[in-house]
Amino acid sequence: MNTKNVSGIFLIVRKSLAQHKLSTVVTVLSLALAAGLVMSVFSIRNETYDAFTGGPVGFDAVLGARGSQLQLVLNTVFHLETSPGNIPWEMYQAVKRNPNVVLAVPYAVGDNYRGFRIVGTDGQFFTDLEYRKGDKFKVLPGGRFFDPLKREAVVGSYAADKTGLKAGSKFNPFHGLVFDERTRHAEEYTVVGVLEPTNTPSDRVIWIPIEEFYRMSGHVLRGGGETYEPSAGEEIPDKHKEVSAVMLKLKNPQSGFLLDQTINRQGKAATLAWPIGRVMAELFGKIGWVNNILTLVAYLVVVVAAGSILASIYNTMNERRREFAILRALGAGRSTVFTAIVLESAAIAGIGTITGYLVYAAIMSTAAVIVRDQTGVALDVFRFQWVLVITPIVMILLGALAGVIPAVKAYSTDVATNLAPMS
Amino acid sequence: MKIILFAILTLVLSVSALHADQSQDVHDEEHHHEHHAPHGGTLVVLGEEFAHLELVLDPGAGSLAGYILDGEAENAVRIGQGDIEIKVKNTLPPGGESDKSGYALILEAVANVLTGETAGDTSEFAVQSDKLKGVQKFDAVISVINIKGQTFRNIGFRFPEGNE
Repeated sequence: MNTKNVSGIFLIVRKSLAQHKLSTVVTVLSLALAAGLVMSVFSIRNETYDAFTGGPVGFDAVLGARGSQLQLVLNTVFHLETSPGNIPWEMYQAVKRNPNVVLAVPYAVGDNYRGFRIVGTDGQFFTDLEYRKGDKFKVLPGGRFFDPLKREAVVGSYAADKTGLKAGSKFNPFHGLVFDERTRHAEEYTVVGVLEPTNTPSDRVIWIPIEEFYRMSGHVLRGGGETYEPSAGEEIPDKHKEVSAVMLKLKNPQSGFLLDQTINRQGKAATLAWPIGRVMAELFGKIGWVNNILTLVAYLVVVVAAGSILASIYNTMNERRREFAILRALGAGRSTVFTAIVLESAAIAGIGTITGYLVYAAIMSTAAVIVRDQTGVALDVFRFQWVLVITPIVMILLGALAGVIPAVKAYSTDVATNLAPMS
Repeated sequence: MKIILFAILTLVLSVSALHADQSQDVHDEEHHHEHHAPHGGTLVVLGEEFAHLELVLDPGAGSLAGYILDGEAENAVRIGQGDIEIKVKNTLPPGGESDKSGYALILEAVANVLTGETAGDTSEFAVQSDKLKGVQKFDAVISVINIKGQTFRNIGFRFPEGNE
């Protein structure tokens, strides 16, 4: 096939696409949706998996009440679930003293402000914890971290944005993790700082001193077995204190194995969720079937889109018989006509796939906003994924394949019959 | 015809040999499966793999910890014993006169808030002794251990090899 032939084929394809503008546009749009959907399904799956199993959380393990490791991680790391229960303060102190533990930060939960959970912790959370390697929490200019013995609060960036809380604001917590105006606590807290955005679930949390968490009206402590209600001005004995969980930074992976053996296998009093990535990976394993269904739907959409190319080109074949007959009469070979149709089909798929990147960007941006709103986890929407390369190639090949049937029809067009006068 | 018979015979013999190999593997596995010490220590088997005592030595601190484990050396088994006596001798490096005649270490029951174990209901025992500082190897005899109604006496072993 010489250069003249090739340019001739491209001219035929271009003219045909222009001539059947409407059907071309509709088919391109359906392919764009299909390509965008396929790329998005795979990308969201990969992104969410990576963000939830390997994203920055700042600590290696979570110690909490005996029960589900997943619930413990979801509650403490992602601030999504309810707490599985409390553990006594002496357990927090014991794990803090353990030589395998570098950092142990208490975590007490049970209240919210307009749906954003309030967590009681201590100053180490801000001063010692690296939420991402090398990054510690910082407050926006004009703010500071709370005084552990005052009714003060530090607000995560997302929570501040949605609630309007800023340094100097005062608010009253609401009991429970679900916002209900009837459960308002009497104590008033002053916001002393708003955290800089971290793109982690911590952005959705309001942090208060754990000591003040204990002293909130209606809060009773059962760390020592019996019920204890703190009184104003009276020091709370350690034996009555309790925490929902302890966030742990471990010395090394071997430390995790040893603590896992001690707490989960040897012990019956608490649960150690470790490693956090593995616990979350188990969740993805359990809901993997949802991804499989979404993937199947995406594949079906691609097949339907390929079918739409076939239908749209095939439907034009009758009206184009004369055109092919003329081309053949002017010297075009059968293979030229065949190639032109296959190329036209592939071109529609190609344009559709390129447009699909816009659909992909729109879906991913929307998904990222929803995931951020619901969990505080930031997805890296425009990170390179192999599916962004593979999908266009597969779609173009599929498009070319869809063009084979109409191409065969064009190939077999009889010149003499179709050049006969039409009336 | 001869070729077909030969092929069938070869096939039958191959399948039989493969099956015999697999049976042998399973057989071997049943009798020689290895246990892994969960704390990275030395396993001392008690009875016919009724239970294990895992010993973890810290020569720097001169401490010896013992963990009672089940027959698979996987799960902790709590016992009511207040202490476990282990007689030690022939230490390496040698530890002087007391080493030749041997000496007794009393591993006390450990209460641990993280596990919920208490003295008298624990799987963890420990002792600290200056005599153990720097020690790498020794001969030992566990005087007595009561586990789930069974009593094991005078269990001898070499540390860190164990007796499995």
